Amino acid sequence: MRRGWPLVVCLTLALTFVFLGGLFAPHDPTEVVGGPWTRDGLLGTDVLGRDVLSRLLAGGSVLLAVAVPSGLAAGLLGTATGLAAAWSPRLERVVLRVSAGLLAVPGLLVTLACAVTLPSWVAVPASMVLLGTPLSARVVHAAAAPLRRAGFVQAAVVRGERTSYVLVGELLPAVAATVLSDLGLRIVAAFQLAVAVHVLGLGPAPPVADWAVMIRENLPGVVLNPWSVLAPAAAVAAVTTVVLLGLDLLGARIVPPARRTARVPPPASARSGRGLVELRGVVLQSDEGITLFDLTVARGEVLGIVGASGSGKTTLLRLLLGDVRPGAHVVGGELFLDGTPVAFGSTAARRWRRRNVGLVPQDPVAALDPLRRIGSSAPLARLGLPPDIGKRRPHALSGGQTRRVVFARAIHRNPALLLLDEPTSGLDPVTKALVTEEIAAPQRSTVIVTHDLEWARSVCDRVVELRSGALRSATDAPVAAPRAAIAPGEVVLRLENVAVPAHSTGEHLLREVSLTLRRGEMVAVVGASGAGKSTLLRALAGLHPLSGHVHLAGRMALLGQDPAGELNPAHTLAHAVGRPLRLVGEHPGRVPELLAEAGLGEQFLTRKPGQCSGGQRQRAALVRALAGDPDVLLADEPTSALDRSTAEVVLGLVNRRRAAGLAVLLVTHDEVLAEQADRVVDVVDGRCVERTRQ
Amino acid sequence: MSLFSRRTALVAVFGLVAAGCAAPTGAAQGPPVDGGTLRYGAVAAGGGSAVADPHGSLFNESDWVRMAALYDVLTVPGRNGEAEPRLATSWSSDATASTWRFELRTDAVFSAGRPVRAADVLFSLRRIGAKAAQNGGRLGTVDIAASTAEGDHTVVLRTSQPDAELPAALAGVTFVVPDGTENFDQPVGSGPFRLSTMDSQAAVLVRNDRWWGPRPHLDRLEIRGFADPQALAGAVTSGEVDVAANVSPAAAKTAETTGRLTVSRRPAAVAYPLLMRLDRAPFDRPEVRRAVKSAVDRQALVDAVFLGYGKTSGDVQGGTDIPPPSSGDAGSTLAAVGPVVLHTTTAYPGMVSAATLLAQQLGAAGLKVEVRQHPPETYWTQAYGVEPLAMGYYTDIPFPVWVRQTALSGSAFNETGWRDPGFDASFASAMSTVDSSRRAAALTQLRSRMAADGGWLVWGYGDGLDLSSPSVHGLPTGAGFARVFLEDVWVRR
Amino acid sequence: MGAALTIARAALTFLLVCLLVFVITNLLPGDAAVIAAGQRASPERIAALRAALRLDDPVWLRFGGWLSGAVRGDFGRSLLDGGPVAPVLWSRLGTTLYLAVPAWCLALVFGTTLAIVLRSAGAAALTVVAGLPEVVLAGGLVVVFATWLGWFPSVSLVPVGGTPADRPEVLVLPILALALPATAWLARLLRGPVADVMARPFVADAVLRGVPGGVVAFRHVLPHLAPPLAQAGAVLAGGVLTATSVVEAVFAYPGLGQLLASAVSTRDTPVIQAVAAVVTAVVLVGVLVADAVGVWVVRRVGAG
Repeated sequence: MRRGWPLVVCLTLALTFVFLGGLFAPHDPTEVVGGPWTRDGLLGTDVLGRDVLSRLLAGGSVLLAVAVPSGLAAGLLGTATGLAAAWSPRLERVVLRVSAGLLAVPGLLVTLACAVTLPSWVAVPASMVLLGTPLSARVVHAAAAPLRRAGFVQAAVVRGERTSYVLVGELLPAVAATVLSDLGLRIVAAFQLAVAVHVLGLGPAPPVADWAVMIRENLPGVVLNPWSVLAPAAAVAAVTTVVLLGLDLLGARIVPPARRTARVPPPASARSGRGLVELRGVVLQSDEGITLFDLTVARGEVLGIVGASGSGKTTLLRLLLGDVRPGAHVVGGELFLDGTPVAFGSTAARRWRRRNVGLVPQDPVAALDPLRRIGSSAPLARLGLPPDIGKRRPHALSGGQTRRVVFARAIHRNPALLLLDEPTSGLDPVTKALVTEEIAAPQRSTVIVTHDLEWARSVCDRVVELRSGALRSATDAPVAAPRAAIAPGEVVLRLENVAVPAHSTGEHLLREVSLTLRRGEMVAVVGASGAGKSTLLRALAGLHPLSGHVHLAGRMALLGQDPAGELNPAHTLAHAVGRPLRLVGEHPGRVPELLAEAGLGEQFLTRKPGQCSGGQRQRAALVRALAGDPDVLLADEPTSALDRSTAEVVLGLVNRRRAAGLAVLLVTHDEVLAEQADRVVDVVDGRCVERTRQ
Repeated sequence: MSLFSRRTALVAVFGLVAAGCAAPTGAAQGPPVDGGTLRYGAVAAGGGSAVADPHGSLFNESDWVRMAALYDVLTVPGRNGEAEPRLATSWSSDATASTWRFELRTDAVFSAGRPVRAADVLFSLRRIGAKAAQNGGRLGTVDIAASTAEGDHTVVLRTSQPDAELPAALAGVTFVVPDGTENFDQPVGSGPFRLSTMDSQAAVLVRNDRWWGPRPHLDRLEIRGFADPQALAGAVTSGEVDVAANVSPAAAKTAETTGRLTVSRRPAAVAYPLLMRLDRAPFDRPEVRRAVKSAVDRQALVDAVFLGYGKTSGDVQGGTDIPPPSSGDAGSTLAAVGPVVLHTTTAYPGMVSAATLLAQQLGAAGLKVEVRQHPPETYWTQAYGVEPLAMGYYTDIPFPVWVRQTALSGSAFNETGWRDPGFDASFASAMSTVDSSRRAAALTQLRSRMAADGGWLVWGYGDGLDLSSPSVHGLPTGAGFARVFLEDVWVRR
Repeated sequence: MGAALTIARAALTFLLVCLLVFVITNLLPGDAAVIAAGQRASPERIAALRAALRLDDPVWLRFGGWLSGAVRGDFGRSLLDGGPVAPVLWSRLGTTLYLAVPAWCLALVFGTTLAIVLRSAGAAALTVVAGLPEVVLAGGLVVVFATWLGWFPSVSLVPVGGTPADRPEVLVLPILALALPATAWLARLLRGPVADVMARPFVADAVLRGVPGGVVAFRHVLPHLAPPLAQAGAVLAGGVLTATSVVEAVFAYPGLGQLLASAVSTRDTPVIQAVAAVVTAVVLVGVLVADAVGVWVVRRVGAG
């Protein structure tokens, strides 16, 4: 509530001024107190010699009472129409065409027609709805249509939410910023429309005090007493400003804006650093507490950084780049790039990393701009990507291909420093070997953030672990847990001769897929990138066409591949997890317990996805998928963003559910994870082949 | 008036602030100077296209000014509304004032070169008569079918009823075009100016050196229409035009305050009367009408609505010569009358102001009045002349013309329901009185009677107000259409 | 095939809008006859005028007459002065484009730039500009630039028989008066979409890779703004054309907006129809383009 009080105070003051102002007027607003347009009194007199101040205080209520509801009506109706159009392609065509037609009618005519045929308190809402609704509908539709395939929307569809909930509960909050800024414009437009209608002489009859009428009747005397016009005009402007600011504050509460990186003054000392990058005594302060970083990346060194999910690995990576993550501040210490002191967040830091750094982020799928083609570069072919890949756009790539493309982009310009954030998660073994080969290139410093300690040991010169807010030497990894032994129950999902067409071409990506899934079973689907594994899951979830027979006994839940898009940016984790619970009639009081099971403590209940790390988001998405108590879980790379120990917590959670009858169909590149499955299915050349285990 | 022209008028008014920049020049008038261009701005309520036909609807003041410069008329209004010679050098009537002979001047030629003959005049009058619906019956009592041309320089007009004021009634409105003209794209007239170029916003006229009259001082006359009165005032303030005709009292007051522009006043040009229907309760009772008339504070109205640029008046159309009734005790009569609605329109800003103040004054005297506004497009057909209490709008058209339009039993449109056969007869007899002083006395008597018994409350007249740069001299100051004849204007740069 | 169908649909919409405008104009109380007859007109005189102007014919008959002329490029004659509408329409349109096109371009460029650059810091300032009644904004312009500084004239008179290009200085203030509120409006409208795009990981990734802010905005943010921007641009085109009614009256500039305003107040149906047809055509073409842009983007991100 801390951020809300200015809004409350502003609105209260504005409403008091508008509706009760008349009580404080020094004169009767209709009483003649002097000559026309004299400067007597605080604001002088008006066209007929009445007191401007008194009329100003009495004159806002009618205008506001007409304008705000009109603007709200138009904005809300438009939002509802726009959301519905974003959801239903058939409605979309109708809405787009009708709104285009309505927008093409000159507004002057509509306003006039409404104003002269209807009473004024109906005329403003009516013409506002006619003029504003098509506009709002188109704006909201444009914002919401691209989210049709967002992970959180699809998860809601798969868990069986009603369309109305998907629209209001998922799409609406996600486009709240757009909706609220549109709503503000609608109210301002309604205000100006109401002013126009009143000025036209179709509002309250004289001698009633009304700001719009005041502007109009005092126009000719604006030089004789400027306040007679300026005061009501300023009042109109002030009230609309308060309304807009109020909506802005409200919007900021629903979708918190990303805070900007604080610029830190350059270090006082001119001592030179060692190595390529050096963090010397850097103290980072954030909600999670204070972390001290002392780290030097030597030239030509391959350095590994390991640590539990949320321990600050990605934050450290950003610090090495001279950038501070939103919500954190550097309160001390120095950064040296190439031996030169550089301020965090400075242009110098940006220029240095532009020249010298190659970066592979944690979530490569989201890191590629969906509108830009991949483009060609030499490393693409070396990484085993198909020759035509440069002409494709990211949506035409599989998850594994995307990872390789992003890797290729990072090494393309042969950077002096290569930063890799979980580079091998979700990669098939062949690609992983290719990546390993690239890292060994000479004359280059490499920093690898990973949870794969074994791999890190095999490629790194030095491995450090980030634990409890400090860096130390890495300890040995725990031994992998044995496969859970759970007796399979009855069949919940049976696929008979299923074929899945490719998205664009229509040719079959997968053919003759037959598979049976029993309660308690976990089946892993493994295969090269682009083989169609994820598409199979989506098809089973009903999000992609398929042919053949699918028998499902019970509920299904989908856990998608793209951690950034899995959770609605406008919802807290408590809300995201609580929703499927309510859907199956359970009490949302279990939310903390469910999150705790996945290692997410109380403090995460009120956090939104933007305030969580990738691993935390992935765990929350899994908790949400399981909260609805599904019979079948379709999981796409569920542990790719997780370090090993966290992955085990997650796996333990899944296994407990399996013991209670959950069947899991998972798609993965991670052979360690596949080992945990009861059965493994390899996708080879568009067919599924069950692997025989020794 | 449109939705937006009024709403945004504010902006132009800000331009008036510019007036404070230069000191007043106050140059002595001296003898007229020849040459130069006069840039003349007038309100064009339509704002759209300029009208080409001089005989159809002329909405815009800018169109009137252009027609008056391009074409000659039979007579022009003089300083006090009497007719003065123009194309007609002299006129006379028979004893009953129902047949009039107008002698035309022999030296008038059209800009195309041909002399102006009686046939051209008769053709033009016929055309005006045929377009009576468009031009509001501009010909009045003239029976055009019975009128004839005698030779090349005499026109004989017969009237449908005796009309001793015919020359004054026709003053300024009988634009003469060559016989047979139906296309006015390339206008041919015999006026002091001829057309050089024109687009929908403005027209450039140059001096017609073949005009019969004294050589006009101006070389060029640029006439521009402004949809928005405030933009017009802004244009003259910032020097984009030399004259702004018919500005609001507030604009004149502003100009006087800042002191850079000349304000010319044409007395008694406009009035916003209160109209009470004689055939509708409660104003069918004479004592109620008298009480209303004596309850209003006329000077306060003139001061507020015309900002003092005007004069109080007795309750009849035609000027301020009839004194207002002395105020008496109206309270007891008015208190007994139930609440009434006063209808008004936003067509002219003064009509709303006047209605609001009248309502307040009558309220103080015991009569509760609610003001109801109408848009201009519907007011004149739906409220004015229909509702028991409504606001009217008078310009300074001649009194007999106004009486025929609205105050006779046989008038097509009777704004207050004043139907009195005795009055009709007295009026007809006055109109057939050729002797002007006897006629004037008879008319004054009639007007006093209307003021005492009628439903008109003409509380005051406002001046016609023109703003001009100090270099402009010789602007018309006469009554009525005299304001649109600009051939005597001169400019000292 | 698809394009032909789209254009046919747009043409149908165009016809329906023209019909709608015709019906609305007829719904307005009063008609050209009442207005032409003036203040003290008898019912007989009004009836005679109405008959002469053929206002007694049924609406569909008059609309049909207008339409059959309009498809041949003949917009009929004004009810008020009897002059042909087409020449006036084209000349006024030309004059108005001198204001509308620069104002539209300025608003698009600066509105988008502001939306990207002033994400939170300038938001309050934008709010105030968007919340100002446009009359006050335009009035402020006149006071500052015409009155105090004297840089530009306070009214924008065009030389008789000339074009606004003969006096370019008269265009500055009306263009600003049109462009400023439009810029604020667009910037406010795009703030939501910009915030949405800025929050996407590929933008953060580009920043981390050290890509300069301008390049990030131009290469990664702008293309994703294309659908809302195109929609807003289409609406803005209609909005700017409509707003010329206000601005042209204020600056006494002889354009389409003043023509429409005066035609509406005099119920001059053929002129209203002609102006409305032009505005409708502009908006519809804009919306068609905007829809095409939206489809193009959705296809490319694979959400089709």
